[in-house]
Amino acid sequence: MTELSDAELLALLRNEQSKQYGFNLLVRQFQRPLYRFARRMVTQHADAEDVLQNVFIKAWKGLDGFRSDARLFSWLYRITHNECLDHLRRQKRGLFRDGDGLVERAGATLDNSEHFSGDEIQRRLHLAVMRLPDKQRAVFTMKYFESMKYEEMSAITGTSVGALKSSYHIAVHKIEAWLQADQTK
Amino acid sequence: MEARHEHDELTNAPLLRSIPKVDPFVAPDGFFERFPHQVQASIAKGERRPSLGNWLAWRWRYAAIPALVAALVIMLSQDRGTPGTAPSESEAFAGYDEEVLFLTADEHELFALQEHAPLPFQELAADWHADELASYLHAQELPLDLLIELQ
Repeated sequence: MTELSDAELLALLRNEQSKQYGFNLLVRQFQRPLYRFARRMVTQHADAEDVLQNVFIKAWKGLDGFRSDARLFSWLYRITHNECLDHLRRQKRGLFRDGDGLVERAGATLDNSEHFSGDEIQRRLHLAVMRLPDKQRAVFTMKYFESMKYEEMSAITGTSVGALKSSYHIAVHKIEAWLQADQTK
Repeated sequence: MEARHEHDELTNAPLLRSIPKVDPFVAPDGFFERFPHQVQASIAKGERRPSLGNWLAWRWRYAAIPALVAALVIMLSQDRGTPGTAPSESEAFAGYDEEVLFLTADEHELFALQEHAPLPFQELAADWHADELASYLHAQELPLDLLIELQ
């Protein structure tokens, strides 16, 4: 699929005649990286799908307020980031699920999921990442897996570059320690 | 410079560094082909439904009836009580439909309700935010698109 620039997409989105078509292209263009981030955050496919659905509905509703000087990808990523955190918060309230911990639940999901292709070391890495607090997990995921620049992460999370660097630094140390402990079991 | 910083971060994390960076998460077959249509169908469905404002206006009309009945019951129970002793707020809210309360009570009344409501409602309402209200409404099996608008 040929990717359109932000300017091309916005031209389609700002014209009532082509708005629906432009939005369809926008979803097609950005769904994969956003899904990848959501899966890393919430683990289950069904949860990631719910998150993504809400993200694009919110994006549709917020299109008129989108500032042209921002990047569409960063804007959508920010909505996804916030939606994942909200989703996890709701899960932890226990309204939608039993009292299992998030890590235990993620472990069980990976064991039984046909939607996880990783080997044992990938499984252990994901479980270690799941042990991080939600916001720190988002920082680690953006930096480590997506190789994002801190400035872009700052625009997405609304956190200073300095704080993001510290958070990532601490996350790396925690994960390394957990992987080491896991290895010696 | 940033790449170097990242490399430095991983210098002290040999185990993490040794793990290949692959994406082990798989989406079901055809998901990315179906998904854009799914989103547009949800949007179209949402736009056909009444907006939250209209929905609340509709709910208010129906909520007004039990609210008036409840006010009457509270007034009568106050009359029957020992002179000079007002019923507690939990008594005032007892037997009152929670959903109606959420649609009719203002913010202060909701907080009063949180303090005096019976368990498990009280447990859920420790520090209400918009998303929690949405969750509560979800638990009441109200339409999902309204939940999204509430958020």
